[in-house]
Amino acid sequence: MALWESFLRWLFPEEREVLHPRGTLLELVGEHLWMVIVSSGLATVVGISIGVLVTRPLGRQYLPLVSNLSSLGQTFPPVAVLALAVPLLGFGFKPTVAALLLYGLLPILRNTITGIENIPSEVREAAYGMGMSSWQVLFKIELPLALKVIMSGIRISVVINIGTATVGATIGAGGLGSPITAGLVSENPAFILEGAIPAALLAFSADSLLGNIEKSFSSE
Amino acid sequence: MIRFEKVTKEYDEETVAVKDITFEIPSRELTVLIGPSGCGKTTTLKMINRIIRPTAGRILIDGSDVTEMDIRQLRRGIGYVIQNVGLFPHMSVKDNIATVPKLLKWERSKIDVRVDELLQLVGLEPKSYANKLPKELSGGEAQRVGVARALAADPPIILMDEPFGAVDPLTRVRLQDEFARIQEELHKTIVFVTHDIDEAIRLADKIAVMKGGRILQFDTPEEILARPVEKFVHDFMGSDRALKRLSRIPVLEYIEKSETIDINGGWEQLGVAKEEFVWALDDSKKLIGWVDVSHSSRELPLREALTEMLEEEILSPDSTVKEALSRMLESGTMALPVVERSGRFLGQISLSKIQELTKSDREEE
Repeated sequence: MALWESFLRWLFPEEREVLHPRGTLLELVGEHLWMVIVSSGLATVVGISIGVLVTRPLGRQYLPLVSNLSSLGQTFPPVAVLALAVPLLGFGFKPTVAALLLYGLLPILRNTITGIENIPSEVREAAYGMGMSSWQVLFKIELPLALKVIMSGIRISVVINIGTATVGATIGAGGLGSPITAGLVSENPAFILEGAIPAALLAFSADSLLGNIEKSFSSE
Repeated sequence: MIRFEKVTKEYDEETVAVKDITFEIPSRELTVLIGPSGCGKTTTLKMINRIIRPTAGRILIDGSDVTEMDIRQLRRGIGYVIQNVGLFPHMSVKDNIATVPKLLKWERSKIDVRVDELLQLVGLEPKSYANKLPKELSGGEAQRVGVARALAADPPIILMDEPFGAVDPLTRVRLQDEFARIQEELHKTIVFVTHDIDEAIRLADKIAVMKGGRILQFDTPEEILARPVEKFVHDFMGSDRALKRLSRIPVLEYIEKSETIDINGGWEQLGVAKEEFVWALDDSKKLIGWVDVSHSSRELPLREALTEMLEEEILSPDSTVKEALSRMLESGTMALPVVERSGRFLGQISLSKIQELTKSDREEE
């Protein structure tokens, strides 16, 4: 920790404060990760569920609607989503998670749909033809075959959310966005880097960790 | 027995895939549905396991209507081999084959034994293939696994939709021969869709020729080849249908008794032979060749009038008349001997006899 402080002090010798008083690096990273884990976790559950629903015979009619809506969701600026979420959910953690959920949903949803739709039709026909039920086809054939593509959706979603979660600080959600926001307001570049460097490192390591998990599926 | 009663499948008023077909697929035989693309053969096949639902009519398996059975029970009792194999890419060969036994909740040990048995049956060494993934198999191997998977739970009925369509011609013939051997052993009720007439003739007990959603003719390959009911069937069978027919007839049906001579004896065994030659046997009654019986050669000792036969000039009892004809053309002879594997001489098949029989068939037409 002392090392981290002396590094920032060495970079910005003229600043009076180089560490934001909100919390230690560990606390900030913890807050940040917790927001990402909760939101990406929810996005995974919701994304896969919707993706599975719209690829069923009964839900197929909603497939174009859902694809369009989720692409549209991605075009809202995160700050606008936060502004809309505040009146409903108040300040802090909840509206931030809601915004991140919306953001992280698209890659997972899209990849779930792609993964399932790309399964060769004869594989599905063989499965049904041998007497599997719809549930058995879903859990034994479709999801295992789509798993790799879904995993890569989750990876993209997590990486996006690690970056986007910094915006949550503007409505008091904490995390690595706090020093960044404070640094912007008080024109203190040390604060900005205090938040930005760990956030970037987090994104890199999440990307490679999840990428490795993904690879372990493909080598099977 | 699978019975179709006035079965129709229409997608809309314009596209009718199958029009009011009524026929019976016999048990323990291989029935081929054949016709050009769009003739309704695949639709007919897929209505049996309810992949496709008929718009009208009934399909009965041993008397019970398929639409009244539990769909999963129905399908688990019917082996299914589809055009592009459709092996599950994320499962090993073993798990693919074990699909239906697992659905039927067989015990692990029973499944293991069954998988080994099936791999052996389709000619794949269990040790080296059981744990491979589908992507590591060649097209022919994948098809074999597809067949093994369909046979896994020993279903009485097997549906096959152009199962050997996607492999090269050489592999296809090998697979067909092996499959014919398997069927001879298992006697399943097989419904087999193809557009390849040679495949149909090679495998079928019965052929249904389809066109435009109707069955034009449903009979044994021999009958369809000898007496096509209409021009389309005639043309579909090809201009060499007489030859194709001969490929269905075993030489045993055309075999003639013929005179033989003991090579260790003398000319006096013959009396007045009408033929130009006789088949020569040794003391153990094995065929060794033929003897020219013209007057000039009768002046020589019997042994010196002997011409020994080449291996490829001798027919086995399971060869077809088409093969016999082809070998006669190759060797330029008018007749060939038929000999059992043990070496016992059974008789001969002659060009004149083949002509006589094909001619009499034509006169019946």
